[in-house]
Amino acid sequence: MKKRTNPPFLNGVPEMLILHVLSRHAMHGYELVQAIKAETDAAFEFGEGCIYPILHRLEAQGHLHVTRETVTGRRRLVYRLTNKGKKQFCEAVACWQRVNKAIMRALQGGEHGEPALA
Amino acid sequence: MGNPLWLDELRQQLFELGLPRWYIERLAEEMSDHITDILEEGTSMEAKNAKRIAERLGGAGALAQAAATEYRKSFFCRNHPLLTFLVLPVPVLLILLGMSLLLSFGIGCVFRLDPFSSPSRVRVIAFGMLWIPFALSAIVFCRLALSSGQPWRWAMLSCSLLAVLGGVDALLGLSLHVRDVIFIVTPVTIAFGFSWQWRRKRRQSILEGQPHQPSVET
Repeated sequence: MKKRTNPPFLNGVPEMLILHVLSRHAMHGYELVQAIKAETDAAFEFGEGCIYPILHRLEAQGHLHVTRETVTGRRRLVYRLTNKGKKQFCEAVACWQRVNKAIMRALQGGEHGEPALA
Repeated sequence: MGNPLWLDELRQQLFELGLPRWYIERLAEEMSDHITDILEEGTSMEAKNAKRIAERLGGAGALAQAAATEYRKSFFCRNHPLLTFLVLPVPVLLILLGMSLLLSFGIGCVFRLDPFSSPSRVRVIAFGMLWIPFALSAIVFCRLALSSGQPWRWAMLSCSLLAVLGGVDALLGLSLHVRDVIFIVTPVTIAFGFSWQWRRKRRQSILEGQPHQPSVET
């Protein structure tokens, strides 16, 4: 089955979802993927492997901190949010809400307002 | 444990894309854990598992491309190319020149050599050491452009700047004909050498496909 890629306006959404899920508690990669699937009702079907390069970039940018811990008997790399990551998450959510509000206003205005072109 | 063939292919692709070994091993370790988790989900047969892994994780080549793209996004020079490739070469060159001069001076003191009155081979070594910082700086900035996936013009900019500085240095210093040419030509030669390597890698990555993006279920 051929998957469609995200449209460009979804850039930054995987990052925001990762920060959101990790804002509750630290997780390893597999757990994180399952949490995102559960929370979004599987509306987003990420290529599961793609989550790791994004996690590594967020770690390099200082938004995440990784530690090696034993989870259910196995040594895993566990990711947790840093203070910088928390701040980034708040900014991303505020930005998302602003954009979402503006788009909704535009879409609703389209129903009741004057047409832009004659 | 994971799927050895899939992981080997991933490692190979990451290696060919020029990612460092520590990053390759780290990603492979995490993918191996992830595959083990997928396999523990159900009791499918091995053949089914291989198919399921490919469906869930995507192809090794696509993942390697995505990893290379994300890895390069975290480079400082991606966000500040002007500062990195136009401003930084000057302090880097000055530091390397200082180190080279100190080393030359140290060697001269230890062996009681004077480059101006010593035999020709000593002079060649002494001036050769002054040439090394230009070559090293050019290599550093070319490698930086290559590993961060920056357009090649940024590396050329750094090397041109180094060539100009080399020319100025040669004019201000003792005018040895060979030295003048080396100072100017070396950074440019290095830039062209790396340019060839960069183009080869780029062509290879284009042939392997576009970077994989997370997808939305439709």
